Amino acid sequence: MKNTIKISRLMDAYTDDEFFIQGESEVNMDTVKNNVIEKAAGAKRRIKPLVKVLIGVAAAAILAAGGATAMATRGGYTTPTGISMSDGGGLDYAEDREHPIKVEEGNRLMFVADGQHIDITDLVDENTPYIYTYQNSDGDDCYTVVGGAADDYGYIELLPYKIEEDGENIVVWMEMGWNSRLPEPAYHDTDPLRPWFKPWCLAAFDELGLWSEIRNWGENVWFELNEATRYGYPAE
Amino acid sequence: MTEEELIKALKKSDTAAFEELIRRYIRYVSSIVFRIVGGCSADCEEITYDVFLAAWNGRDRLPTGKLKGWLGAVARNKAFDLLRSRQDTLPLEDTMIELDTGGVEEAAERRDNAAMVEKALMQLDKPQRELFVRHYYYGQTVREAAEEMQINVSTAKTWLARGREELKEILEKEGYTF
Repeated sequence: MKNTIKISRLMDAYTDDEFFIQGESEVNMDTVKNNVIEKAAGAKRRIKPLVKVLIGVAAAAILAAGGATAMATRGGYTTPTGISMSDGGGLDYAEDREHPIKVEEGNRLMFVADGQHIDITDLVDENTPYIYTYQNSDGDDCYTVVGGAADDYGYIELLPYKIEEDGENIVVWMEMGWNSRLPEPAYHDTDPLRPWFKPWCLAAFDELGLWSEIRNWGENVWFELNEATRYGYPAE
Repeated sequence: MTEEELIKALKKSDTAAFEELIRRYIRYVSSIVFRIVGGCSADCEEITYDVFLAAWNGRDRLPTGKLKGWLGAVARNKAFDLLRSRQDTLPLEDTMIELDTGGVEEAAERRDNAAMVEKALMQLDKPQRELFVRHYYYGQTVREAAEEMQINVSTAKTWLARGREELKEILEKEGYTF
């Protein structure tokens, strides 16, 4: 089997103990320490303080329960509408939530969820997400994250799904993704067009503090997304 | 305190352990950021904060035995993110290599990718290895690296090509896992 990889990505596995580690840093340790500790203490966790947070892929098996994604065509787009689990559980993406983006004349990206009409063209790019927070009927925070450009934008919906595992309540964050260059979400774990692999998507995970094990089932192997390397690797 | 003990303490949200983490690795992290961003400034400090904040926020998942590498990789990614936000392309002439590593079933047996990359680089002479690290790890352009190393650009390109061949050969032979 042939795989291609960027050499700079390969070098993620390298540690420089030989060349440039001595004496070049002018960053003051106390300043960094105080600043980071202050940020760490004040950092708001946007998710509920539950024991575990897992992000599940809509079309992948989650916690050993198989799932299937329901799709619908709305406003000319095929978008995800919900996830049905083989154990009878599942999550319905609210029926009245339309596709959140319209591309208007002049290649302007308009965010149109919940009756809004916001030009976010200059607020997003390949590296920068637009994050919209709203509450579901239970009062829980949900997130719509958009990134990219008018000819290649994507969005993901992050929706909390509560389950009980080992006697404890945990939240599984269900992720439903969509990319404008695909006719429908392609849940192939090596598909480079998937929103997951886009820098804007990763930046959103940084901002929302949702880094955790992101599980994807592909070719009988669980893949997990690693915060440091930004790529999926076979889970240990 | 061993790395394992440090990580264990961090998982318990021990702030003294967090201070120790910063003390141990701040030079390493900030040096990487400095080399990639090009000079230390408010951006350099901000990225350094962000790396350690990422370590704190991800303290439940820090990898034992690979902590320094993890911090280095986060530092590189955040530094490259900043460069991307400043300009359209990175100075790095990144290259794809194609590896024939067998099927997924074979790759399921875990290999130490870090050891393989290091082994490949150690096949190079020190100056060639330095050039490879300057370009592919720190993102220096070939021209900049060649100037600082006082070699000409065509020599630098030849050395890099050799480095890529060594890397490909070792990774294919040892079974790099994706």
